[in-house]
Amino acid sequence: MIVKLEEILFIVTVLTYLVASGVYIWHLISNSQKAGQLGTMLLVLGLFAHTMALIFRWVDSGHAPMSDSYESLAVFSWGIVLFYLIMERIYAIRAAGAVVVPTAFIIASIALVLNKGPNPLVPALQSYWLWIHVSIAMLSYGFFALAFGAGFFYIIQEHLLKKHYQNVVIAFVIMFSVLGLAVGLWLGFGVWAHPLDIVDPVTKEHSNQYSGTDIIKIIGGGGIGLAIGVLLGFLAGKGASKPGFARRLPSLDVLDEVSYRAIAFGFPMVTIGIITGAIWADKAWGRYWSWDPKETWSLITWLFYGAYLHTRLTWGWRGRHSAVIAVLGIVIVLFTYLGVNYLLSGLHTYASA
Amino acid sequence: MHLAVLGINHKTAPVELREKVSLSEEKCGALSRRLLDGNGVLEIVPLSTCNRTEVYVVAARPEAGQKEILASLALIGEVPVDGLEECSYFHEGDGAVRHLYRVAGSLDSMVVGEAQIMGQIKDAYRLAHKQESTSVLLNRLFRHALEVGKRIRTETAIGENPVSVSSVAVEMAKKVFEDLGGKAVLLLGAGKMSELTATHLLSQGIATILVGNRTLSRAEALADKFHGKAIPYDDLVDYLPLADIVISSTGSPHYVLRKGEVERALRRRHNLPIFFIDIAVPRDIDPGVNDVNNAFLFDIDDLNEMARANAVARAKEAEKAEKIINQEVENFSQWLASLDVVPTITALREMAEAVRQAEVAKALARFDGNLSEKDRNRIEAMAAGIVNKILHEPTVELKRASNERGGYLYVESMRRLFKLNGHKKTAEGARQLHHLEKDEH
Repeated sequence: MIVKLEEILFIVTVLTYLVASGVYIWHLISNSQKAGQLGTMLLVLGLFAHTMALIFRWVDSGHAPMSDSYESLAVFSWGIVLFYLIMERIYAIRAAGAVVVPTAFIIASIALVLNKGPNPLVPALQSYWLWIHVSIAMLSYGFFALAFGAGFFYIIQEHLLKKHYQNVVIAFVIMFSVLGLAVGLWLGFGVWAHPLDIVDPVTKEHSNQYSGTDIIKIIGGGGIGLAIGVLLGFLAGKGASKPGFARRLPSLDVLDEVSYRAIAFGFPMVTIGIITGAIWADKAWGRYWSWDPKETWSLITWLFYGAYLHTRLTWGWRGRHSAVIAVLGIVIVLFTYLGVNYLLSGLHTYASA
Repeated sequence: MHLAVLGINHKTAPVELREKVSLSEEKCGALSRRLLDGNGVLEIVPLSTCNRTEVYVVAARPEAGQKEILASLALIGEVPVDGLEECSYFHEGDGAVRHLYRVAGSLDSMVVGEAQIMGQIKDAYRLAHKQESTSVLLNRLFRHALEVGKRIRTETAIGENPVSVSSVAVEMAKKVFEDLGGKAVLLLGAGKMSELTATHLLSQGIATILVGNRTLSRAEALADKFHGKAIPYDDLVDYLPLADIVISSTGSPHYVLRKGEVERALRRRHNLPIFFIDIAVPRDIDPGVNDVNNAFLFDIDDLNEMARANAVARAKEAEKAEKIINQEVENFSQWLASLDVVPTITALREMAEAVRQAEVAKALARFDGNLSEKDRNRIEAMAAGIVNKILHEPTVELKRASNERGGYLYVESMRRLFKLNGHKKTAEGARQLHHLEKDEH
């Protein structure tokens, strides 16, 4: 019975986030204060349902909800919404909600699709390191997501300033359609397509085989994402061409600073995440490092954000260059976090089993 | 009782006249005392800013006060009454309410959407309140007007988009640097426009001002004025890395700053952004500078275009504000209507009549028809007598009070004590106003 309730609560959560996304975007375009307040109210309601769903899940499965894709995504989106609401309370940055809330919605809806119900822990995960390693890794992803958001807005605000707030529709359409295409393709690959897992009889290596329907699903996902991106980009560009839009975005100074700070916090976190992971790997599998795809990609993530800090501190990079790195970084983070589970196989792939 | 406003403003009167009839605190007090003293004026609030002098009054009779206000204002300003009358406007009833709300919403201001007027209204009202020249009606009207002004500011974006070139420049600078405090400005050329923009920037907490001009003496004069520093014009490129904001308005026929120079300066300041404002015609700064990373260039055309677009946006917001004002005027006039004496007395009489009839019917029913016609009439007459006797004094008193200062207090008390709610809408309007008053305290 409790399982059912958890599922209903989570569906309510996702629907609330969807409506809230629309309201936040409308708030950004129209600058209606009532829309902003409604958005916040919906988000608080959604967060409440979300919290209840996670608690029921925890009670039912008997372990922290961090063991599979659904659980980690559900916790991740929960963290994003909570963190965002706190930031909104402190800094009055409702404009950012137009990006953050849809992101939380997308992540939560992917979690919804992936939900396979509570399951007992795989023996390898039965350790207190699960808590430490996963929560630190998630925290670093959260910081990188924040750096991405600030970097994204930096690029928009910088473009607006360079163009003197005139004729910015095309730039918005391009930016949003790239984003939409990426999300759509990823949904197609990661969620809708179900490739066959082929094991090479000689080398014992895993590889994926995509069928015709899978290809259609992937292309379809990309197409839908692109279409939504073009539409949103057009609307956002129209909105941004209106005078007064500048006021609703923070200044370049603040955006650059937030992006930098977030990475300055996230980098040590991901470092600790990798170290705790290695310690746990030694306990679980007897080796600190085995070049498993997840390990390789976290190293790439680490190097990438290391490069951000390095270019900034020693070469004096800042502004747009840094913002572009922060935006690209999230692609690597997402691949490390999710892509590896679906596209590559290795020791970390508990989810696709 | 009649609400009215008489005044002059920047649209109706030249600045010389406005200056003369501008009212200091003492003059406000003198004017109020003069008018309250047996001129049929019951309440008064004078409002005087650099763009307007207005006198809001509650008078016992329609049109009352108009002549007296004009005469008093002319006396205080030492101007001829005729000249003043020509430039003045007079609104009564809802018209006066609407006028105050439009002033509070800064729709009547020289720069629509400016923010100071709210504070000025608040000060004028406080002063009048202190001088005890207000009562129920103007108290509510002014408190409500401040609420309406606040509502317009929060529900519309009327004050959001700057409409002058220098304020657009400041706003854009703030979109690059969150806080202009402690920043350094480099002024190139000592023109009027750059001076104006610099003044605007100084009010935002700019720390350093450097001035470069072809004639050093003029640079030094301007630098002295802003407590800045004059720099040798030929070395201005060396000073460029020190500047966060550059304002250029030289008369030079060719570019004063080129792309390469800006790129070098940015490297020397570790890519900290520089905001360029080019208000010279022909332009002083190579437009290619805008393509340099972390350099932001706005020229006079860009700023003018943004100011123009902002003015259009403000006009749209002003339409929204007018709608809000329509609603609020309606609310206020409903509350006002509920304070009318005649309907209040009628309502009181109707209520008493209903009670009388019900009670008489009840009493007669107890006698089971054992009463003669005569007895019945006697009982009816007695009941009617009691009602009339009791209501006589309050009725007379209400009628008398309605022509007195603060008379609305009686009407309102009567309505509340006897729960005379009139038509529902009226009560609604009154309750809203009541809430506003409570918030004030």
